[in-house]
Amino acid sequence: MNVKNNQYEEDKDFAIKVFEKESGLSEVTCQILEKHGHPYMIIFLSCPTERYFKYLNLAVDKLPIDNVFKDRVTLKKRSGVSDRLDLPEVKRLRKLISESLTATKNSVLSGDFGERYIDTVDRAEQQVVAKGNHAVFGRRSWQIKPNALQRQCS
Amino acid sequence: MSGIYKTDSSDHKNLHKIPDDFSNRETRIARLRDLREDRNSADYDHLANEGSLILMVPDSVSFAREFLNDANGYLSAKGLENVL
Repeated sequence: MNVKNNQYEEDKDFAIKVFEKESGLSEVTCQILEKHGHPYMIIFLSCPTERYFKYLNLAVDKLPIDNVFKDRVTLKKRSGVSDRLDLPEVKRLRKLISESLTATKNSVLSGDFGERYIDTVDRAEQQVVAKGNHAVFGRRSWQIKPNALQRQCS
Repeated sequence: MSGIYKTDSSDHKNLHKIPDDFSNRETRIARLRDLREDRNSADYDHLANEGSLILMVPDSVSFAREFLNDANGYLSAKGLENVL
């Protein structure tokens, strides 16, 4: 692999990273087309709507001028899905559901809804969004207070 | 929207300057970018064929028709009749 291709890879990774940050998606797939000597990136989504084009344009604006994919990236509809549960969109939905489970009645009173959920330092989210019955156990483990647990056990 | 119109190539860099209240603005900006790339392929790449295009021809045509129609409606709503 020559220096030019290495630069392409770095620019591609950075462009993907910026798009993922803007869109909230993760592990998006893409294809690089060679267009008369310059690469053009196509990011595949199940349904590229106006919302995702907005994220794309925001990402393009944030790319440095020397990134080879500046103004050279687009979205297209994905075809031939083999495992829907592993799609970036599904992962985002699962993340949102997991985040919503951290809400309690106190969240309303204390105004927590005005703030975004903050990821844990040790990346516990990866386990929370695992293919398991986390909707019940994850919620209870965070909500039950010690004295409440004692009352339940007695 | 400035309304300034030029036919030289430097005007291409203004593709993204679509009014904020234009329908499907973000999609249109990205698709115009793709169409510009496809236009360059058509004009300057002698090895390119239809499969080299980012957008397939029927998609490009329908996009262009809808975009022109919406632009006409947008300008009419602003009081500019029969501009396009």
